[in-house]
Amino acid sequence: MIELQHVGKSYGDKTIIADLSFTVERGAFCAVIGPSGSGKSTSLRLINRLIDLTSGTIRVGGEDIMSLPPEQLRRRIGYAIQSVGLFPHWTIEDNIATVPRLLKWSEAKVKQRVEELFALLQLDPATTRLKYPHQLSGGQQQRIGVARALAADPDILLMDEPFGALDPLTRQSLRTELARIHKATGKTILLVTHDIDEALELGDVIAILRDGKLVQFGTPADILAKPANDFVRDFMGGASLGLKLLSLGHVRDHLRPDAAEGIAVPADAPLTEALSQMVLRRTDRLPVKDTNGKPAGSIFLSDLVG
Amino acid sequence: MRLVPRNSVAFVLGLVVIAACAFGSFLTEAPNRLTSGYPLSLGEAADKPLLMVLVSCGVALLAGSFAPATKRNALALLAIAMTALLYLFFTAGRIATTIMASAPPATRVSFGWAFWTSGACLAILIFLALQKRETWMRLVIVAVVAVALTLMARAGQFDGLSLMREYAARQGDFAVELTRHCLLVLISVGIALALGVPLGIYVARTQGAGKVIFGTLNLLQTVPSIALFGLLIAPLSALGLGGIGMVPAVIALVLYALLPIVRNTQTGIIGVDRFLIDAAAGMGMNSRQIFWRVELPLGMPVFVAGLRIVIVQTIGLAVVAALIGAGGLGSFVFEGIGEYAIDLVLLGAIPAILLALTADFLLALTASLLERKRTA
Repeated sequence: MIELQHVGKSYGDKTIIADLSFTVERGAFCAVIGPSGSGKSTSLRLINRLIDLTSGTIRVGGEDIMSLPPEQLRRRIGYAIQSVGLFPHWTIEDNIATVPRLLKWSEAKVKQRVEELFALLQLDPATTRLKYPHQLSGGQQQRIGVARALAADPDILLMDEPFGALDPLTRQSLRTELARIHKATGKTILLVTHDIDEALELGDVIAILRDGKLVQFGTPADILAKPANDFVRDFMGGASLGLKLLSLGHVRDHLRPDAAEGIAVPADAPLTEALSQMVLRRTDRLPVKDTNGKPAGSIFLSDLVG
Repeated sequence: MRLVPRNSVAFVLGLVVIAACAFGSFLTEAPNRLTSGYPLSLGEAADKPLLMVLVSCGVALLAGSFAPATKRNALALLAIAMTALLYLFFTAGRIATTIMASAPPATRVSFGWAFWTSGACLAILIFLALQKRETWMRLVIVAVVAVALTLMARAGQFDGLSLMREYAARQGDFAVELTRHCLLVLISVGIALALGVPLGIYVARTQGAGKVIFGTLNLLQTVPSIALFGLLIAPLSALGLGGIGMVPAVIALVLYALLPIVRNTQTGIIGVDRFLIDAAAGMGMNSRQIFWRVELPLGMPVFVAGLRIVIVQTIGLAVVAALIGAGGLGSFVFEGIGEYAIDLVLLGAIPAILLALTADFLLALTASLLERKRTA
């Protein structure tokens, strides 16, 4: 659990963060979004004390972050950044083992943990373990960055635009992977991003920041259905807000037993995919197949707005 | 064959070698070690077979400069230049031995300008060719030349040359002064490292500290070495440390070595990417761990580059330190200058140059090994 209470950060007269309060429940995935300069990265760096706060309190797992020496606090919090920050002079294995070694784990335990992480991230240890970061692609480097953040099995993961510098395809696949890892590990994750779709896809909750203030905090569906003000509405997509809202739902939740003609859409596809297919095929109903490819019923256009 | 050489550097250097050897004074012969000798060209002094080999080396160099720049041709050119250089030494030794066999014992045969010029041209050729080669190859080539020259010297090939006769007369002194020179350099560089590295770290971490420290060190660097050695005499005598000898020499050498060490330490640390420090801190390294595990290893190439400058510079400056009684190879140089015995000057100068080149070469090797691991 991460709790921010009336957190403020200013440099002299310049206020970066003003009276920021929100709570991320244990095991939740919180996406922090906002335009550049809104203080989203700063709020993240306040949590692991890379920046010291000016006012307010931050609690991590119930403990005030000021009650621990910063190094000890940081070793308990996973941290992944946009530029990856893998150490170029260390092998992939050594990079992943950074925090466990700082915590003075036994070498056997470190080795075992590295193996586990390779398995979790579906990386082949035989081909990557002893390589140097520059020998890997950007996407692979970023995965190693995530593995390194997870290495000491922290309860909390802070991620600062971790996929920012990657191409759209790699981004998408890493996003899917992060969602899978979140589900598999149950970590509390705080992810800073400027990509609305990333926030909507990954976040259980979303915090929208502007000029260092919290504008809205809530589930994706809440925010899309009831944007707090014009800024949120425009920022979240303006005219296409409805489509974003639709993308949160899945075909499987709107099934009818009736039969329909044509090629089936998968049951776990987002509703936007069903709508897109209806528009393309000029029809108001589609057959649906389950994960095994068996017929599962159908979906009607009227259900999408219902 | 084209009319324009493809390797114009090799062509020009080859021409210079041939011209110098054909018309220049290859060696000089003097009645004793203090008078200047009269010139001997290769044509006069060398017998036919010696001349033939040298001429064919020159012709091969010229021909090689027209060949396409493939790796094989480059290696062939390198081999020719090496053979020519070794043969140059061999010839000089051979001629000297022949002359000494029939001349009065006080006669001195020394290297002439044609020898120096062609030797330098060949060395440059070898150096240029080696720059494009792998580390191990550089090591092997340099070792081959060094071993070949040492073997020739051991076999007495150079015994007729004046330089070797100066050496033979001073053999005991030479070992002492060489050791002293190395000691002077090691102690000075050691102290300079112990002071300069922490200072460099401090400057890298502290805003505004650089101005004062670099200002002072730059000022020190502009003081001519002889003046600095002289300036230290009075204050040190007053302190009872003695104004001449090892102590003032070490102090002066340390002062000169500080600037490059401090500057390169600072540059190395500052040059490490900001986001790496951020990642290291974010994972819970304290500032000491960040320094040892991230900043130091990543800044090492810059630091080693600084060390190269410092060691070469100190070996050279330590020659001057002989002026204030610190001993070292400089004592031969200044004694030689005093007596107007050029070969004695060379007995001090050449080992100093070789020492500097060796140190530089070894550190360059270290640097390239360090670099290889992370060519991002």
